[in-house]
Amino acid sequence: MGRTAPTLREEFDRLEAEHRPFRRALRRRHQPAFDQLFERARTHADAAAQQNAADPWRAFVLTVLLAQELQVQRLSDDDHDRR
Amino acid sequence: MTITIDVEAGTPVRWVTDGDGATPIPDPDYEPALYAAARNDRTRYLDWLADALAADPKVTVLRTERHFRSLGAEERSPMLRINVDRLGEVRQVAREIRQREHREHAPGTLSLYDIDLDPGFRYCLDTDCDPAPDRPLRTLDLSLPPAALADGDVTKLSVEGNPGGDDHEAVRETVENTLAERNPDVLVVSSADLVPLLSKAGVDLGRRPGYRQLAGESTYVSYGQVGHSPARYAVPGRAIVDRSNSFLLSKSSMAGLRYFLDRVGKPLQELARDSIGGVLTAIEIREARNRDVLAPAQKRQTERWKSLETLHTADRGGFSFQPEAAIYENVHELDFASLYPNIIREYRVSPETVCCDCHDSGDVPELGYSICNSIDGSFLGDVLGPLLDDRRELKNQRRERTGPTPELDAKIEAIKWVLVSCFGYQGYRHAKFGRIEVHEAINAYAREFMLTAKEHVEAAGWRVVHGIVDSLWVRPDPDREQRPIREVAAEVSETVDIALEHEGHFDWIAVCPRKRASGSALMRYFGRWGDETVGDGERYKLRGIEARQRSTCPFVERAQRDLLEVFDRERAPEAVCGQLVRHLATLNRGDVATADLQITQRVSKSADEYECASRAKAALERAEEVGLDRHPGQSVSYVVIDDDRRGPDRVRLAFEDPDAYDPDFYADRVVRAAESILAPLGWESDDIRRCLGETWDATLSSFE
Ligand SMILES: [Zn+2]
Repeated sequence: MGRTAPTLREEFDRLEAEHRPFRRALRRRHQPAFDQLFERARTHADAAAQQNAADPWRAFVLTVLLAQELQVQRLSDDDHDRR
Repeated sequence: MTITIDVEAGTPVRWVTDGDGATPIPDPDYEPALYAAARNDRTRYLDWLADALAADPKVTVLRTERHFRSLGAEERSPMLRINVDRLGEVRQVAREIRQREHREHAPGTLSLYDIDLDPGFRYCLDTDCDPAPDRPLRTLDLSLPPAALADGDVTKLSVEGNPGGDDHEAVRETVENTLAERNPDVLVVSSADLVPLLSKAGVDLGRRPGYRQLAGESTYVSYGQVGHSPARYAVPGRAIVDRSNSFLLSKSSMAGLRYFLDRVGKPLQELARDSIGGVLTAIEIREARNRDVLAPAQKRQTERWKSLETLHTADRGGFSFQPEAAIYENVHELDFASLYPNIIREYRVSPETVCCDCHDSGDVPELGYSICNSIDGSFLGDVLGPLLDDRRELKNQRRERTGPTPELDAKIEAIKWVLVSCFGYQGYRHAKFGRIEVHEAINAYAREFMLTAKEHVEAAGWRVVHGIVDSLWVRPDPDREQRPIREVAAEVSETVDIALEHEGHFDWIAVCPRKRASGSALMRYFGRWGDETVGDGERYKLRGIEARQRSTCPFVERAQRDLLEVFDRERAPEAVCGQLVRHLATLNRGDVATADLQITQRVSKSADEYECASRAKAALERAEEVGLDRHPGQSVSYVVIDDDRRGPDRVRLAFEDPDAYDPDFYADRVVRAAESILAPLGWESDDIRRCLGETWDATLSSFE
């Protein structure tokens, strides 16, 4: 298909651009974490695009949560392995 | 040459210096004028008004002239000039015009100008009279404690700090002799109510007999604060300066007043009782006159329509960069010098330049407002420019001096207050030449420059600890190399065209957590200046903590400063608690003089309006009991003698000189002061009480 997927990526880019003042006001050492949010969102943009949500913001939040959930699982697995 | 301008039966009387004395010169030909303009400049409304006023005996001349209606107006508008026979009747004529307009036309048909000017200032504006004398002003200080004033007891009067006398007759003689001997131009009084009181005792304070009451006392609300405006009086030939009702005097001294006398060209007596906005408005009115713009009677210009998004960006307020509660070592403070006024001047932000109709250049960051560049300079730049330049010049002079410089300090301080007020005043709905977009644009520039500064210091290897409005606190990033901080500041100054100054270096600063309940954004901190910064000034800088608060009594202030030194020396909470115990023990033994336990508070309402039984309410009730008049907006000083009681017996007023106090109440205050000192170390009140429990028991046993 490839019709909606690039659009959601573009929406994420737009959100990122829109939040530049926020990023700018952050401490320099916190800025990479801010950028990481958008990186994480883009990782699952293709799947999220299938939802065809009217509100890209909602898609963004959900993709970030998903990415973080995966990260949490990974960390607890690591923890488990170490024990 | 002029000392003061009296008004006698509607005629201005100029008192001019004459050797050591002063001579009255009446000006019977002078006629004040107000102006009317019509909506859309329709002259038929002006003709109607001229007809209507033709028979009014208060009005002498009616004439059509052309003047600018506003700072941004492109052409002069036809206006009806209405000369009034007597100085002091302008407002009355204006009121009657409003009534006629109301009866016969739609509201807003007429706009009135030059109606609410103080009479002396109006006279100076109209006649180019310089209200500053050509010799130093001689002042005489008269003060009477509030309680004696309430009792009408003049025997407590002090004249230049010396007792006035034991009975009415002696006081009368002292005051009259001193007046004759010194022949003062200015009477600095503790309260203007002294004028009628002394008159009753047979003393004429003026250069001629008699006095006039200019206004009765009133209570008002301004910027959400309740204020009290005492009655105002004038005496012939001498200016009255009421200490209890003079913004400039309270923030500065006679030297500051004298500076603005020259700068504003407004008679001393009127200037002395001006609010901060009043001083600024007077300078603006003068500058507007230079441009043939008359002073609008009330604000007509409403805010332009704005998209929701602009509104949001515009209302965001000043920049702030939240600090985390902790102790930070090796901190530099950087300040933009007079940031807001410099933005106004350097970036030409002014009512007539912002959002002009001829440009779409989107100059203002975030908001995209345009700043007109087909005009040279700007109105607000011309208003503030001389103040900015004078202040810098005075600061340079001070730098070259050694020893105390009270006059320079007073002038610098007075100018500072007027400069800082300008920004807020622009956003104030009723400011004569204010405009909300100007306020917003200044804010937007300020935020932009703070962010620019932040980016520069971070790129140079520094971390931002805290930033607010026009100041940044930075410390070295432990993982990176730093470029010298002064070099970075100079670079920022060059980029934004406003000096970012290195204010100083702290060995450490301790930031307290925000108070959860108050929700205030104010940062509370204390820090120790580094040796190279401190010079012979204060070792520590304190902000927002008890020792800095007006309502804190001297004992608690001293205790907190002492704990601060222990904290600095030991950096151990237990050591601070140990010292706290000593202060508590002193309190408990009853060893503290009640003069050190006085709490001074501004009262915002009268006793019966307080809903909860606060100490301020108790103090007011006590004041009533002893016959002392306290109005909202004034302050009251008291000692808490039994905090468990309700009503007037909870406190005693300071002047009653009580001989006992409530040790538990003050102990609680000292413990709170200690909490602020220990909060940056992560200690909370429970930790202190636990620690106290142990040490306290040990201390008590050591007393046995
Ligand atoms: Zn323009």
